[in-house]
Amino acid sequence: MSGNNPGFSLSDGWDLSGLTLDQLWLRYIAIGGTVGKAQLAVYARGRGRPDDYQHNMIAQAINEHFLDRGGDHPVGYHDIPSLP
Amino acid sequence: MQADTTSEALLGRIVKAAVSEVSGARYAGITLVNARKVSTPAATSELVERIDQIQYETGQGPCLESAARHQTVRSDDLREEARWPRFARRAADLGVVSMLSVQLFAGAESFGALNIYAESAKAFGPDSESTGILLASHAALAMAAARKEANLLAAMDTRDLIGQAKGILVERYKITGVQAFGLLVASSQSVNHKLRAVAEHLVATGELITPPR
Repeated sequence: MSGNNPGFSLSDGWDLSGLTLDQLWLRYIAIGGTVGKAQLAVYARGRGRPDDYQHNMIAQAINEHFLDRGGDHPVGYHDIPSLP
Repeated sequence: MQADTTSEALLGRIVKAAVSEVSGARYAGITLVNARKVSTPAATSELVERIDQIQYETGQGPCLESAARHQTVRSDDLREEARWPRFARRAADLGVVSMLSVQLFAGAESFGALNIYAESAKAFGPDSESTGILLASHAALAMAAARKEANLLAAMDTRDLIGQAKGILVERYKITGVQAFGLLVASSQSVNHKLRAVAEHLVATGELITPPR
């Protein structure tokens, strides 16, 4: 799944990944995340309304777990630009 | 014991404490099991490393059993031990008679075993086991904290690298940091590389990875 295809939701992707909140938060802050664990959990469970930037950071954090296992980017992104 | 947080120093202090505090102990060592790789990162004597090597070679012994089953395993006399015959015979030939192996276990993270050795039979009893369990529990928690710190430092390093990469893109294309992050993600998607790899390549070469045309 690529570009701005819907893909899995953050919540479904997180469930599928099996990551703990601590593990997800560590991946998230490594790529530039700015919210704490509690807020991350709210967003990743689909209960908050993150802006596109937060959504995409969380999506990337989850997707990198799948990349580590030879997979692709199953969780969808919002409004990713095309490569120049 | 938690003042020195380097892993090697910490494990060294634990095995020394095991010899001084566990009644009957003569030598001690730690077996670590990590992603199916077994190692002896700390030992009070070269003899301990030789004993552990026998366990690795034979695939049997109290510390492997302790690490695998997450329980304390004790042998009162290796010369008469039937549970691990190949290991026991070779260990006894080296002069080790009693062994006590206590798992290093903290929550969901299983690290291995603290192994304690004696040169006489029936050297270890309930008090030895209790002290060994206390030491091993403390060690496992300290090791988990050290590993957590190491993971956090690695995450900060990656964050810094991605920040540099975003900065390059912001300057090059006159875009915002959010848009720059989007370009890094687009690159990651297109070639199935993690953001760190994309950022490393960009910072090192000035090029944003794109799929071959």
